[in-house]
Amino acid sequence: MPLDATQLAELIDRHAAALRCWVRSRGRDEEDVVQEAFCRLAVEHPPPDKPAAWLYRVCRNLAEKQRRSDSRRRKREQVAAASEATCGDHERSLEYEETMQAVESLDPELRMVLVARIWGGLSLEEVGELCGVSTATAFRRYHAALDQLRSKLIPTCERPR
Amino acid sequence: MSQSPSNDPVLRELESQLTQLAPRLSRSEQSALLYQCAFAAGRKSGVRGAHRWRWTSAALGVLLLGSLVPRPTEPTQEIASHQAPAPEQPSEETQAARPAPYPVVSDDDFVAFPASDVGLLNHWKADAAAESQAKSELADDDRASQRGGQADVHAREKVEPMEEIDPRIEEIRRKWADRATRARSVKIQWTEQDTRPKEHRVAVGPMNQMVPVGREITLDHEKSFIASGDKFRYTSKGALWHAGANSTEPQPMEWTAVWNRYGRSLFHFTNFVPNATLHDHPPMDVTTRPLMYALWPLTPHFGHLDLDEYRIKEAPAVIAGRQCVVLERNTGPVENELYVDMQRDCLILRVVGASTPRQADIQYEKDASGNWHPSGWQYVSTKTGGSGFDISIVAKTTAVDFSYTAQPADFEIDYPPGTILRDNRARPAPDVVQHPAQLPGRAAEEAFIAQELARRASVPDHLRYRVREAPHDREAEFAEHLAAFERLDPAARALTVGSLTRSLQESL
Repeated sequence: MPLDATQLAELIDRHAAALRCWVRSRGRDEEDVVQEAFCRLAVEHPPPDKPAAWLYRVCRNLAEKQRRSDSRRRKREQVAAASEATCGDHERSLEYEETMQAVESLDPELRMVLVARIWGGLSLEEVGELCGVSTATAFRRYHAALDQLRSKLIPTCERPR
Repeated sequence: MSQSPSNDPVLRELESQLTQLAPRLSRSEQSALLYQCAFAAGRKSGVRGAHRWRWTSAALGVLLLGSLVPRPTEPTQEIASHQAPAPEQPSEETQAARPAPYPVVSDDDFVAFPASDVGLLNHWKADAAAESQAKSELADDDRASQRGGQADVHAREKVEPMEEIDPRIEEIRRKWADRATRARSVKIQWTEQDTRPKEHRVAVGPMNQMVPVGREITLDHEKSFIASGDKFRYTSKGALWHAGANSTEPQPMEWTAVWNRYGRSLFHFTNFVPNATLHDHPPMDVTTRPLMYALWPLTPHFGHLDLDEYRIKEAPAVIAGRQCVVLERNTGPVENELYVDMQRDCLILRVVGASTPRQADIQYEKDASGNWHPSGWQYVSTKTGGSGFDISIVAKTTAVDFSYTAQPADFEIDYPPGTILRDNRARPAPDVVQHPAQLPGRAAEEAFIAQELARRASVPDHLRYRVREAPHDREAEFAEHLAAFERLDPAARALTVGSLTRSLQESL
């Protein structure tokens, strides 16, 4: 049987916003991609063993298809221009706002690894496979992302070279 | 591979904080998305036609709104108060029967949905008897969609046919592999001018304060790179900004990085603390990337290009008067373009990064033995938004030796007395299943370090490591910084305090 409603609702609650961030790192129309991924998950039979990893993988494939579509490219640029309407609009603390701004300011390739690892809960091996890089590269990017975030959020800590 | 970036407690704490700050969609957005899922599932499970399920899905979508409301922190009484007033409002049954368009509901409009009735939300699923008929109808629907040239966005993801491999890709692969073989043991030396723009931020002072530099600065380096197989020694002599120095002026610095497959050791000849570190990954240095592309584009830990990710664009290009094919990366996050001179053993003349604006240009010479080597390269990255450059590097090769015989000592570092070593390799140990080849080397290196520590600890007052245990104590670290600050002369203290104050003012 496919996933039931409560399971699906839980996955949406946990992953939908992060997936939008992740897809946006690829410069794509995140709302369409994430919606379609969840729709496919709802009818997937049997459901995947690792729904989070499955969602990220399908989002990657859908985003890649979208990239190849010239007709959608224009729309993507419009979306990118209004990118602040992202990552959910629930109540946000100052810390949350600062953190999200710092995450948004990361290089896309670093942000993708960070979001998939931290909020997607994917292993570095899965992240590497997802992003088309080796596990070692995923590790380096993850480390670099955290390092950059640290310098943005904790500017006075020691930064060993 | 370890899942944690380091034994640095600051990074671990940052990971933990980020995990807790996971973004969430608003409840109305979640409900809309859940509605779309219900609609898709309704179509998939359709038995007698799409209309019935569209209505049912619409009804379920309304019901699904409630599934998100109950939260442990929300009192039941308050939920009830939402339901009680406004007698003209439709009942839940009426809402359930309301067809599309799907509802747009603000967070305040939520109504409770009893947990015991969540099972109703799963009614989109067809029963077992109807499933075979549903599959048949879905297959018919798919065929009809394909005939009509329209893709069903909710249908199961279809397998795309394999793209035919361009024979030129295989030729490039062969040429690159051949060049890496020729450069299996090589020593190359070059000079490098590294220019950073005005307002480039650097870390200074014992507190590692980030301060902008008041003018554009160009630093000169003399560098060398020895490679043997996938091991290397990378040395640099020049100047760098670094914490510990109490000035925004770059300070003289020499350092050596060694990658011996089992661990990277990076050593600074300055008072930077710690002045030696161990890592479990090789450095990815933008200044050496063009060199990697020139000699070892396919080698892991070096160029690390995967040609399976590239395809050749239809339109060729001309770089410095040379006709090139353009390889475009078709997967992964980095949309690189490689400009390859097919007439000269598939040399890479240019690398362009699209997602992060950067470009490297490489020039080549051929020696008497027929070996191509880079005679120079330029690397430029621009700031996000394209407002000027961020890093500009101009390198010129001064010597190349393709017959260099590497010695084991080339890939070791003899730490001088007083070296303070930080082991930045991940804890716990990396997954040996993924990298079994690293196990003997890692074990050997750890044994070597332990042996060295014991030996040097036995020597009084010198030849002694001080290893920072992980996790280290942040309070102790702060005390260390404070002690370093107190040892500064008044001018240096003023500089540090000034930079801290400016940073604080900027942040406010």
